[in-house]
Amino acid sequence: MKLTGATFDQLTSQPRNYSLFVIMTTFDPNHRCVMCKEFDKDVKLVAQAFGRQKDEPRVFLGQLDFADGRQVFSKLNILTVPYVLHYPPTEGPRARVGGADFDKIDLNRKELDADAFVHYIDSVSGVKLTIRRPINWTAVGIYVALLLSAIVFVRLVASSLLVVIQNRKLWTVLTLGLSILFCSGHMWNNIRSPAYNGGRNGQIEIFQPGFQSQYVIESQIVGLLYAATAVVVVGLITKVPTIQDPLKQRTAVYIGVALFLTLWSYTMRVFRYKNGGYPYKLFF
Amino acid sequence: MLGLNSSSETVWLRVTILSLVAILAFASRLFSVLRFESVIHEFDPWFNYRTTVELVENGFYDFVNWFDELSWYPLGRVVGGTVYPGIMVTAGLIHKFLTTLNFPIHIREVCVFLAPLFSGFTAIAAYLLTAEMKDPAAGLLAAAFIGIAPGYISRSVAGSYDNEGIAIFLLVFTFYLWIKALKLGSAFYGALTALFYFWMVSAWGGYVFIINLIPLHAFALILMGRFSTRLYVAYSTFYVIGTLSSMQIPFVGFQPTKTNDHMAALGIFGLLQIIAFVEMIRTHLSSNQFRSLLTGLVIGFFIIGFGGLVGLTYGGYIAPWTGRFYSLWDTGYAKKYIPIIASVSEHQPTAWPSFFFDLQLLMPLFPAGVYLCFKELRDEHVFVILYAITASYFAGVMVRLMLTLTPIVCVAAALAVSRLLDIYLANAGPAPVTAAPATEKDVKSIKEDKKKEKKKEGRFGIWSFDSKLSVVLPIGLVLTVFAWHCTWVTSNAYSSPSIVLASRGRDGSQVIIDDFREAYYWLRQNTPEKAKIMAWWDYGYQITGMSNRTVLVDNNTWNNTHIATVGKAMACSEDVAYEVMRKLDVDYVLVIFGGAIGYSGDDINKFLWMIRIGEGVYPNDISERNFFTDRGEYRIDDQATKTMRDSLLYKMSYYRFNDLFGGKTGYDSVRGSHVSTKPIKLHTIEEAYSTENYIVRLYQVKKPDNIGRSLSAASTFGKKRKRRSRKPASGKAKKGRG
Repeated sequence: MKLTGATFDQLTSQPRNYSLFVIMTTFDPNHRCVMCKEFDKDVKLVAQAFGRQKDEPRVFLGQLDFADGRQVFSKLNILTVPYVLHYPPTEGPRARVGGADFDKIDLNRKELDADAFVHYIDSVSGVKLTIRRPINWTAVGIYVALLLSAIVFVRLVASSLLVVIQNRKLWTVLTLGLSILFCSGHMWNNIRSPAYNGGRNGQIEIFQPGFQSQYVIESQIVGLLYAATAVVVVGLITKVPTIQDPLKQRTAVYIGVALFLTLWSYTMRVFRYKNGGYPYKLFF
Repeated sequence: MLGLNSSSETVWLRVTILSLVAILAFASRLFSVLRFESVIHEFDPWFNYRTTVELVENGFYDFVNWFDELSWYPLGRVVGGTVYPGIMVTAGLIHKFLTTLNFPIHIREVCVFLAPLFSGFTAIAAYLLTAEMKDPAAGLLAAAFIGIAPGYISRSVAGSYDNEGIAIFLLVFTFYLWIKALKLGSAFYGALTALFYFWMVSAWGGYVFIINLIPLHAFALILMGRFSTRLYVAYSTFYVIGTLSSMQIPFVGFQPTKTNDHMAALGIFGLLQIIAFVEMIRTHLSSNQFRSLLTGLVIGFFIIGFGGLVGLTYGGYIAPWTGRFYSLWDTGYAKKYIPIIASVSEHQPTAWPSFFFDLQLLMPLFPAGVYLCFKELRDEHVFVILYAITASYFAGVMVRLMLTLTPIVCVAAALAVSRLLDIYLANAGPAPVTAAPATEKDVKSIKEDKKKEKKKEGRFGIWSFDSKLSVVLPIGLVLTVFAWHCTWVTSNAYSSPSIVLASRGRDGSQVIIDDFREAYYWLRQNTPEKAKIMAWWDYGYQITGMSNRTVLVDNNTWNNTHIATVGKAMACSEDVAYEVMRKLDVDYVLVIFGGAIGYSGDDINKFLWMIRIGEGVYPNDISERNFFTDRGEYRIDDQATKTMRDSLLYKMSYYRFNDLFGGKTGYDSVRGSHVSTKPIKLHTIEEAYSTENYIVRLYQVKKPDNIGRSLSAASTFGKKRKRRSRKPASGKAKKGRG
């Protein structure tokens, strides 16, 4: 239901025997509200779900564009869009006695999608809606095609695939890569999704001060440091002793040790960025 | 017993070093006892301690049937069926053993020193495990690493009497026995594995890691075509005895047959039987027929098993992955559906500084060690690899699981360092490639070889003395720094009992802040025995443990609704809260407030979680939005929202706080801001006690008004005229601080 300032006032006036959800939004190209457009798709889904309801409607969904209801926005002091207002009924079994006339639902701070919205509608008005997302045929097609081609591919290269699967080097790289990834805070990045890097006073900040947080680039740097140090150690263990020429070997040992110490000192340096009170250091 | 076969001198040397390492592991965990006193730490240990006392005083059967009335009022808790009894029984047995020997030791001392003692055992277990992977020299290194690695110390300092304290020893030792059983194909070791697995099940929920990792190992071995009768014997013995015995723990019960967590083990057990059967048929069939039969059977079994599992899960016969474990895979799950789990700080994901903090040098050596395992890739190395990758994933998702990662990091790093030292410490020059890697045993023969054929091609080793030295010295240096780091971390980060705090006075002397015990003791002495205390769940165990009073919620967070109700009482206005408190018979309310002294772990900082958890159950009464200002800030001063200033917790925290500052506006040193200038009035509760540094504040809930008015109406009655002259509610017990 599309609302204007006048109909908005009319519908929200008391008494009401229905719940009203109003989506405050704007499609004015001047405001360039990307979120509004994104959310609008989900709102349409919810509206369709309303359309499938069979029983007597007790809940209504309205949408108010900023262009149509400027005065409402200023009256309610709404500065950000999209925003959802809920007007509970004032009569009937679910009537609200006392309290504010309406609730603001800040979906931005939760999740801005149809599921969260429907969940909220259910929790305040008891109307259960089922969202049916339109089946994305292109996506399904792509998946089927991918699956088929994967099967064909496996079929064609079955023998060489077996060689690949049994390749020890592949597994080594995979395992080590994954463990280093996990140990350098990749899962933290995944869950908290921090910024790639930070900036302060116009300068790029690579290491976030603070022990409990990090930028993505930090964990990449640290992961690389660990990996490089490990490679040097492995080199010292497996490759250097096989060098036949004593002079070459000596050079290799010195380079390896120097690399090891440099990398490790730098890792400790990096840690001191994070934890100012850390007392130990090697060369720098 | 230790699998040694060299000359007796070497044996003695090893035993001595190992004992020293174990003693070191014990000693480095004693910082907190030396600095403070021999007390139980933190939160959960208090519950464990209380149950242990119950066990020691009343015997095992009373303990199993114990119904605890002090917790979860008015629900109570069936303790016997809802705890892992391993740690209590272990401590009880040690206590009993010592008293039989006429050492009259208090059970508290046993509890305090249990974790360090078992850390010593862990060092030995790590030695044994690593010795199976490479040689005893690597084992000694691993023992030393795990003895001092902060990742393990964090959960096993003296006084942290918690399940993990003994569980890590059991984990490592079970894995050692498993490797041993697998190597020897011995049913005896298989049974021992099962026995220690049983102990582990009785001690810690983390046993699920074992019951999934060992099948994973078996499965990987099968896929690599390494099925053997040794594997068959070891796994079958372990699985059958282990599962049957684990079902004896009341808390576990029939879970091994009913939940998805345990299904992998069952599936592998079945798979092994089929493969063994097929192997038997092989002797009767041609190899071509056999091959197709094998693939057919294995794939068929896999599909049937998996399909059956899915079907049974949907049918409701087998519980799907349970909440806590599921949240490890779907990392967004906990935050959305079980905020109570997400709210615990040790369930947060791990940022890289924590890894470095806990493992330091071992971190880059760990991949090197795993690489070396790939180079050799015997059956036991496959185990290290699988353990490494799964544990590092889990540690990344949850800070607490750093604990399971630490042992394998120590083992892998020890493999790397020991290999490095083998090469660069060898007396001899390069040896022919054909010779085995220069373990101590081989050194002599290599030396002789070397003299005979000095300059032959294809040698493995280091030529010059100075290059050896240039590797060994820096390694020694970084290892020393590692040892310093461990001591520093242990001393600074992990040795605080958290019920006794320490800070530095202006002259640098140490000041002990003992507010918690002061308050709990006050409760014990000054309140009726049946009094019910309301506090946020963090403090539940401590109140029951130290004050011996009934609490509404405690750290065993099994009932989200109940916790949310407490959250609601804290977050709502006084009148709403009063109704809740009356319904739950609350007599006293306890809040932790750090603003006066700068203790940051207080309730105002935990408030958002109370709101979130409360909102999850009572969305109509609480809205997180209302606690933030229009600009989205979480404030406590005059600009704080009305909801914030009206909330019970806010009022209790800052009640008469301004009086501390002699009439000026109070300054909250945790939030770093002034507080509200308006004086706070309480009408449904009154202040009963505040501790020396204001950290714990206790309020008594008033009885309902005699003539049925609401308490807010009653408190303002007749006071309109003399509002200016504020009457101290009951500030007698308060200690002035100027």
